[in-house]
Amino acid sequence: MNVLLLLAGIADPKWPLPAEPLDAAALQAQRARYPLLSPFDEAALELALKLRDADASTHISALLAASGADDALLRHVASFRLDRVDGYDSAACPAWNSAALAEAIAAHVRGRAEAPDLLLIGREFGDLDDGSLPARLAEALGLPGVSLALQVQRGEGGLLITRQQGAQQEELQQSLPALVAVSNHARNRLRHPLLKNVMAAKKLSFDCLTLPAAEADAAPLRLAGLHAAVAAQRQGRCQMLEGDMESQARALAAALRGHAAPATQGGAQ
Amino acid sequence: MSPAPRRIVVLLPAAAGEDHLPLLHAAAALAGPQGRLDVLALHTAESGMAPPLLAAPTQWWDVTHAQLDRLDAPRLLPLFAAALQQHVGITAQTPALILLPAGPLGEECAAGLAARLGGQSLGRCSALALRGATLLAQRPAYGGRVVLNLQSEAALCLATWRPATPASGPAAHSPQRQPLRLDTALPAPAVARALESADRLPALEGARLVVSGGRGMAGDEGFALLAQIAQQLGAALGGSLPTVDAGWVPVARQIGQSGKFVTPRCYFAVGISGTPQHMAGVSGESRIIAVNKDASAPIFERAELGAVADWQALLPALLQALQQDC
Repeated sequence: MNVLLLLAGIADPKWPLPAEPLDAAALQAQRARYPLLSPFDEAALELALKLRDADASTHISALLAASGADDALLRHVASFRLDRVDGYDSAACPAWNSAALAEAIAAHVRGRAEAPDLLLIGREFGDLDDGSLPARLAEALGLPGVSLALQVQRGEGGLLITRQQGAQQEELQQSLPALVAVSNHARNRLRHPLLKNVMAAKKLSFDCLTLPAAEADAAPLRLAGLHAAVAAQRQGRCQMLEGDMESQARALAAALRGHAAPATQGGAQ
Repeated sequence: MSPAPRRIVVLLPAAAGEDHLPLLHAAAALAGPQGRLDVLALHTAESGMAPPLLAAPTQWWDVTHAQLDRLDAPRLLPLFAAALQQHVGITAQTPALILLPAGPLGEECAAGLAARLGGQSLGRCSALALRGATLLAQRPAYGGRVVLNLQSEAALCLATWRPATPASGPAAHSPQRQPLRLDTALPAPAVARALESADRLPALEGARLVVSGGRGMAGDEGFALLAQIAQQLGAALGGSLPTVDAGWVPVARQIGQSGKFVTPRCYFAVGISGTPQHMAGVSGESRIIAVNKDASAPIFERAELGAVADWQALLPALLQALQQDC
């Protein structure tokens, strides 16, 4: 089975964003300086590795939204001993325009020498996508899309996918080819790469591709600007509980009871 | 010649509860008293919604489909596409804004419908406005730390919308209801098996009180205690993204930028520092009670009541106090 992983990476949220002026270039520089795979990227990568664990003939390629050929995430992803890792110039195809990016990735996928059987992608693609890209890409490629996948295994005639469907989890049989958008789950936590593979990845060089240009849109979506979000602030100070633990607990219980559903006030469940 | 006014259409994939009211009121305010709002409310055996009074003249379509066996994008896309094209008169050239509720299903449907209808998808918006033929949209990015200002002149646009501020103004129009029974061909039924879940606590949607834990809970044990407290209070249980990563709560209970948006009267946050990514999932109207061992945690800047304490010491005492109250 040929698996194509689509990974974006994010700017590590532990680091504060650059001060004003905040613009697209400054944010790209932030992602280049503090790169990190998002939990959704990591889950997609781990699921691909699990498919290879189960069947050694599984061929895994990755296409990563990169800041350049020297993007540290390219080397990190390669340290999991994938068959091929390429970057694409993310500045030329920003993910805030999911339609244009989906068309560009779809054109790239159609041009690959070997068509992938399975596209694995995190359910959000980096810091600029909000979950639109997987659905848009499935439509652009004419593939069935499965969202909120938590586990993927080979099954009869295709895949057996555990996914979140509303409030429930379900097992779904899915034929190939398909696009699967992966969500975070305890069983998808990314393993650590072996040290020998980390060392081997240090010697690799990577291509940073320019994705095929999408057809010009007569009325394109424009990014007119961006600014730092202002967090909502409560008026007045937080009242801090004092006293010993029992008195704090009683005060908390009283406050919470005041907000509980009427049926639970003074009555056990 | 001035451009034709942009029609406003709301699609409600699962028309249940009051969670959609802010979207409906904001959409009606955008359409305005001289405009027109179309609402396509999908009804299933389990769900239905009576239309509220709105600020714009509204055509309310009660949409049903006899073969609709599950609410997922592969079924909703052909269904909504047919309803919009054949009954509401929407094409790629129609100046219109189609809105869906924010959330994974809404976002999947908005993006997929944009591709099918030849429209432009603006994503998960926090604010939307019209300036002539131009649509102005704001969208959070970078885990809620950045706001993108997007503009489009495309005739047909789609977005999910979680209005940051409630719409104001009189809601004087009683929607005109019209049943719409569709027989659109849907994909073959999915071969799927629902998995048993031990989760018996109330859903986050519509919960009046949410008890939520963060990375500071440090394990399953703390969440078991939170679940007992939630059960005692009849509250819903939630968690931050790292707690879902760790497997302490299921993804259906994830709150934040990438998870659910909750609007309880009270949000009880334990071991949650209050990052923008997490707080983006909590309504600004919710009153916050916080427990954190770090007195400088940002959550205390949003909270109205707080305790600086280790949850290991405080939560057992809290559970005991709640049990004694009964």
